[in-house]
Amino acid sequence: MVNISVDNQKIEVEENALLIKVLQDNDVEISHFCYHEALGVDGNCRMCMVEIEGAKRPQIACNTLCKEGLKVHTKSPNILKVKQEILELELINHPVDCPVCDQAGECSLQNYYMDFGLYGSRHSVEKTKKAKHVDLGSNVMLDQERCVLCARCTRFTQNISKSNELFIIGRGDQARVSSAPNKPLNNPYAMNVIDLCPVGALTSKDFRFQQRVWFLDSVESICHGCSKGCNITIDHNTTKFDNDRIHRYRPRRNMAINSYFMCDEGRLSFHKENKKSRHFPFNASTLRTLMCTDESKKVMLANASLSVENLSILKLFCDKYSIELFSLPIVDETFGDDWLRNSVRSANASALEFLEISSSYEAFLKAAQTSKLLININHPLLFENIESHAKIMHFTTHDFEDMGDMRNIVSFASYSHENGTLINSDNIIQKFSKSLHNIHSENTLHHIFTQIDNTLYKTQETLWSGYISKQLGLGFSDIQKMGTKLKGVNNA
Amino acid sequence: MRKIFELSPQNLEKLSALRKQYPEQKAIVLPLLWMVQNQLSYLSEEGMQFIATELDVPYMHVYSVASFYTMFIFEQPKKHLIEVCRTLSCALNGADDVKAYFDDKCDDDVEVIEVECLGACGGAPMCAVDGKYKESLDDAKLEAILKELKC
Repeated sequence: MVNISVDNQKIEVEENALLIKVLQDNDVEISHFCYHEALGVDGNCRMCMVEIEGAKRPQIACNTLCKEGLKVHTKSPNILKVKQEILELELINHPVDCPVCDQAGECSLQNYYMDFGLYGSRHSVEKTKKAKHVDLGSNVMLDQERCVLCARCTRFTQNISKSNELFIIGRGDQARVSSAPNKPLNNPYAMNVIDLCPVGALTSKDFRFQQRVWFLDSVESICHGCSKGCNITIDHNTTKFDNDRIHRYRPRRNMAINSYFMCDEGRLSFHKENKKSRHFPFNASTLRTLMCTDESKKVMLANASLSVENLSILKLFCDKYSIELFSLPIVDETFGDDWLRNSVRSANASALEFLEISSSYEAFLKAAQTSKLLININHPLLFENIESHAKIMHFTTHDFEDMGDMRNIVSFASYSHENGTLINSDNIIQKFSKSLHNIHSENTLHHIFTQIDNTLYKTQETLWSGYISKQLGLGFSDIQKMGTKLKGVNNA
Repeated sequence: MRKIFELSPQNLEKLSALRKQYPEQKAIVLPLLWMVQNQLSYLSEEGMQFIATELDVPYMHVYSVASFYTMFIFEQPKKHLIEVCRTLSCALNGADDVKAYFDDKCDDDVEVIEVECLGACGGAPMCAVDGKYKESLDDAKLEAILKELKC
């Protein structure tokens, strides 16, 4: 450990730590375009200039290593002037079309300009014209005029996705990001370049022109697309004549799971979440008669993407009324890869083991054939016609084909409508939060089943302290913000 | 069927010599781009793909390098090329007029472009016609060039 001083404040850091990282970790504002924790140092944007005592000129913080006695000034008049000049250079050919730019409100260039830009322009020559809307493929739109050439996107395709679609071509004021002719962006993680882009050069075809970012509410959540459990931010809002709707998912930093990234399929999965089912209200007494009083054999099939809380309440309910409970994780071998996409497409498949819920397909088929009533909790298997003479009671979050007798359908809140926890494929348990507040938010599975049986745990807190913490071996408050690794069932 | 590019025997010999010369294979991108352009008179997609596979670098790397240099071209060129120098000495001695003259008089077989200094400032204004320098241009010399190109 060495001592350095930043703006006259003493900080103890590890020797040879990267100065820009130290500044970020200590909440010192440091402007930058090209440096990114996941992409490493490039040093081309020059925006992270700091003054170092003893050095002749300003130095870039992203390429400075911390040594004993390093004295750094980030806000001296000289540094502000340097940054102003660099910004002036960046803006010579920038169209300054913030009013129609989708990045406005979350644009580094805009923020830095407001902080230390030179407000009046000194240039009289015409700006260089480049392509304004290039469709790079994979939902990514490029505006070459807005680009600051930080090369984050090209470094992503070179070093992280390793697909090498994007490079900087040309030189001087004609330098621009581009893909080769007839070779569009084509990799399952392509849309991450949109988040990486610090300015409005790369925007999402899916999100652009939909909403201003300052009208969006952000909630921390977990992607339910597969069992990897990528951390996401759900951006949603209620517009004047519309319900509360999700407008985009963005990956959220979690170094233990997804770093800064997520796959495109997960990112676009919010469209399904917006397409909620019609509202099918439930009648507690009818359901009670159907599921609790009848002595005949009953089988329940739960979707393995349900939260730990929901699976637990189902488990308790089924145990009490001797309903056989199964949950079959959905496996898609074509989906998985060795990074963020997992072949197990059910977000909470690892929880089944902890909650002792059977996931045997054969056993389920056997049980389903002899049962009088099948209770389907949002499992796609039963939405298709399965060969069974039993009556099927559907609890669903989304409309499905061939809904048949609508009296046998109850709609319930999907994951964006309630709080919960998930256990991912690496046995890391994580919390996700409620984002949407609309007509579906009332009817959570927990609400429905506690209405059917009043003796079950009334709230998620009591459910955790009474049942789940016993099963998992940790309490709700023990779960860290970035998730907590659980000990496996066998070596618990 | 897509055309596949192949180097000529002479160029193949040069390539194997270059491989020994450079410890870093990426360094051969530029000489190879020249060979392809000399063979085809421009850089085709197949040609650049050949370089990428030969040196085991991404196709976009080859394309990016080639696009950096104005002397590499990506489309089948016209029959003749006139490069008009526009750097200081020539600019002061009327490079603009030379360019305007060629733009006006040349037909579709001739490509007229402006380039930076060709190192013949003593003979400003000057141009290069298909690589051959024509210096101290005046009206008579310009006409002679046109006659030579049969415009």
